[in-house]
Amino acid sequence: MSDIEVMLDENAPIIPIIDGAAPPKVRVRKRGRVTKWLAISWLVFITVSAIGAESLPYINHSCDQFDSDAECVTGTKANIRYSERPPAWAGFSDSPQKTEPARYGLMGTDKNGFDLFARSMLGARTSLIIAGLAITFGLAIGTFLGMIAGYFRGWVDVVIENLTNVLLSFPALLLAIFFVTFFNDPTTSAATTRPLWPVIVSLVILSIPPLTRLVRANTIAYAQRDFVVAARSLGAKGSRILFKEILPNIVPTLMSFALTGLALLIVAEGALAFLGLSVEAPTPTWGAMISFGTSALREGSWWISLMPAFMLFLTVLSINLLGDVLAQRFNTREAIS
Amino acid sequence: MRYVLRRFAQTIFVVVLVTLLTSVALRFLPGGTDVLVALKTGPGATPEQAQQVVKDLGLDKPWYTQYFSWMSNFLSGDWGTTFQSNQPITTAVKRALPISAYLMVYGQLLALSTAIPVAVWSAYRQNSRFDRVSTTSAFAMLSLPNYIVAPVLMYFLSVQRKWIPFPSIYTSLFDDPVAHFKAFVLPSVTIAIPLFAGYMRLLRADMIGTLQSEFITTARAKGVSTANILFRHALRPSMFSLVTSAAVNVGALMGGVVIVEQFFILNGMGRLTVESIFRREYPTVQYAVVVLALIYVGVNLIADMAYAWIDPRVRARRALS
Amino acid sequence: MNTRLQAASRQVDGPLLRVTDLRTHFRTERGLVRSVDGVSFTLDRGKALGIVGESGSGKTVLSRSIMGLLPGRNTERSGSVVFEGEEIIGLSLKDRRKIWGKEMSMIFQDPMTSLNPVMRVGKQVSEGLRIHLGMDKDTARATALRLLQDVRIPEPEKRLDQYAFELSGGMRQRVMIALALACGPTVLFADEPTTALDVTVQAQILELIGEQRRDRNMSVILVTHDLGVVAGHTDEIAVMYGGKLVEKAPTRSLFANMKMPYTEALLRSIPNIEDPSHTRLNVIPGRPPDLVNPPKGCRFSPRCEYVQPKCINEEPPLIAAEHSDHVYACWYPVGSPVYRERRAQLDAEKRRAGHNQVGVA
Repeated sequence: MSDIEVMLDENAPIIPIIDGAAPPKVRVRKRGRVTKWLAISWLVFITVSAIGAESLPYINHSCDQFDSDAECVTGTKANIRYSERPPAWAGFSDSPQKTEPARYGLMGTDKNGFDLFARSMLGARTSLIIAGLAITFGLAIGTFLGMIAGYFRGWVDVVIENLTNVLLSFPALLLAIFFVTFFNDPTTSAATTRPLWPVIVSLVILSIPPLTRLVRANTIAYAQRDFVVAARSLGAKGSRILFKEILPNIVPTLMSFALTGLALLIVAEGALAFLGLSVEAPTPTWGAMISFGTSALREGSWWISLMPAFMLFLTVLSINLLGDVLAQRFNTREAIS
Repeated sequence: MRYVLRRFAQTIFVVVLVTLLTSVALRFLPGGTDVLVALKTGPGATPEQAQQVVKDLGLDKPWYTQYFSWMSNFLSGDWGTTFQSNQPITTAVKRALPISAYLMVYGQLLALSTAIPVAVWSAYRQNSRFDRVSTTSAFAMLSLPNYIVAPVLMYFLSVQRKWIPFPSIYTSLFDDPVAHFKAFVLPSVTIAIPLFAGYMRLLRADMIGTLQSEFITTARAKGVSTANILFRHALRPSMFSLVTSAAVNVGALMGGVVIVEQFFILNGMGRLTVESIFRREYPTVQYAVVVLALIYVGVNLIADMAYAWIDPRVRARRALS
Repeated sequence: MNTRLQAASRQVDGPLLRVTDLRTHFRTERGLVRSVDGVSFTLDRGKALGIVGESGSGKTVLSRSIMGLLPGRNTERSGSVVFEGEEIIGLSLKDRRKIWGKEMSMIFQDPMTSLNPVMRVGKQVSEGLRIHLGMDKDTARATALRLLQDVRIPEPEKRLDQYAFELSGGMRQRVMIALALACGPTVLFADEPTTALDVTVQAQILELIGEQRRDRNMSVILVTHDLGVVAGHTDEIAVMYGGKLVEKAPTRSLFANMKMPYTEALLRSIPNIEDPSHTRLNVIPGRPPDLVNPPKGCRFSPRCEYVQPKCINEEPPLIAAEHSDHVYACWYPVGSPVYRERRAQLDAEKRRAGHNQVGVA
């Protein structure tokens, strides 16, 4: 027997009822704090592991640990004798290889004989670098364009608006694929090592339009506020107003958007890698590992594909959680959970 | 009325820009026209052949003329043929479009039919276990890219239990409905998952806001039943964000589900475009991309107009602007 | 107690509504908020009762509590509300919904937010008809039209298909009234019906409510903070303070012979147009009591001009004045010796303080 909670929420203050209006939504999420710290710890772990993927002991056993070089299995050194082994804890899965050992490592090994855990950490490094650089540049350019469009209006705004609209008219992934292919020399075959920058540039191009839109909208809103008018009346130049008055107000929104954007770009890079368009071997990236493992997946060796997938999922989830926490803190419309 | 005209003009402008950029993009390929010639005729083309190719592609004329000729080709349906197999491009696009459309429709239907009830109930019973479970799962779903979901689904439903064939074998709905749906089940669920998460969160947030309004109390005080209040009184004013999102997704899904189409081997527009990019079939890319962009822009325009129908206040506001 | 209200079992004599020791408490983070803390009164058929009080007095919660409109989760309701001989506290939601709109109706303060912005006005009026009286679409529409005419909305035909934002404030409130009266309720709760309206429109709306009351022999409970509103339109007035009923009397008696100092203060705070300009407003100092931890004795004691030690320590009971239909809760009411003494003191101070103050006659 419950009614619509029109007037009262558990934690809302009582006074507004008597005035007849609806109470403000005040909610304290006690359990949210635990997840926040879990997310932060995971991200710290991943970042540290990514940076030191080659040297950190828990990731990459150096070959010294093995009896002979022939036994050595790491993220960068493959050992075909250990290929396609499920993780040590996956007692329910069997390797298609019938020789010993039956299982290996925290995440098992892939078809070539690489240690998947170590390789995932290397993949983390690639993915994080690409996405991190892309979001940084995207933020810088997008904020700049958005601010000048929103503040100066006029033809600058028209040009930027229309460019943004045009870019947004194409499905994002197709745009990214197009640019990556475009920047990769078309006459080179697919087998050579592909550089990092086409992927980064494509992702930057992908992230600029939504950022520009967001910043432009916010700039317009703030530019009309009195403190900007006041600054202008004191003789402040446009650039000064932009950087000293408007930008500091936009930063909170940008921060939460940046986190969400980072997560999205990690996913995007994964998508490109999945299609084989990102950086090539020997540099692993999560998307490529997942893609590479799907053929094994069809045969039942699920860990090759799904363990890197799990890493990616956890990382993206953690970033999203933090982005949401930030957004809630600054009370933007973006946070709705 | 003025608003409609203004939006229309905006749309036309964007369309022009899009088509312009795509049509003249061929000029900016690194390697220049030689690359295109090589693609069409193979290595070692004679000067006359090269000339012919350049003329066919309209590259010998200045860019504005090229644009017009390209546009007239596009509108008349004379899209030329692919480089490698000399198939008419229109055939390829015509074949791919319905597949993408099916995928998009099934995905949207699945997502909306689940998201709307879940969102309404979550908003109504805020902070209940149901609400917490649904918001948490929605959040988690947003962190699951489709290239993870697709393999997982494939593993559990095609490998472990062989219920669904993999890869998907496309059959027309009219030939064999069962096979048709079997082909689309996994891809649709894959794309429906993030859609569901987004829609559910949007609608829930708006519903929560609406349910706090005074007019809901009025309806209550009139004796209107709970179901009636939720779905007839509260839902309509809350649908704004949902409609926007769904409309944007119609266009986005048509071309953006590349990965799903690649993975399950469904020859939709996404796969067509990407394969064409890989194979350097640039004219195909041009036409496919323009079709996709047009669909996207068109659907957005329609959705924009639809707001006025959903929310009469918007109609009034627009009449004044 | 799960009896449904059947037309046959309704009693035709006796009071329409009898409220006995109604208490409504809300569980919040800060504690138990005692919004309504033991209110009792009766209401006869066709009579108008005004409930007057400041913000925070509990008057709005009282009206919604009687109807049973409050959300269930953190609300504690106790006491008894007997409507036409049937106890309605404890009814299930389904049964309460049968009463809402049909036997008891409510109109709300702000018609702009109280009407569904995306639903046509006509549909909102006829909704109750279709739910409670089972009318079909056409009959409902015709009845809605007649209702709009009853509430004197110009061009009712046109209005049926319009939306709330297309109407003026006064018209919206008329629509609310039509909506509430649609199924012919026996009690109408009017929760600050004029507060959001222009002064000129206020009188019209109150007239309209009075007219409908007489025509339909309907009871009205008029909740407001404005004594002026209740003065001309009620048979009886109940004054609420801090969740309690502090005075209740037939309207004329109240104004002529008020007993509770709070009521006097309320009346005095109304600016008098005949006062000279720049006359200081007679505000009641202090703020409404904290409903989580109300004062031990009389709840008005912290702000009362005539407060005595007894007031602070003991809560005064409701006792009758000269007539039994006039009750009040005060140890030293208006006219008592303690009161008169204190009044003289205060008047003397005012005369000393300045020529700008004018005492109450």
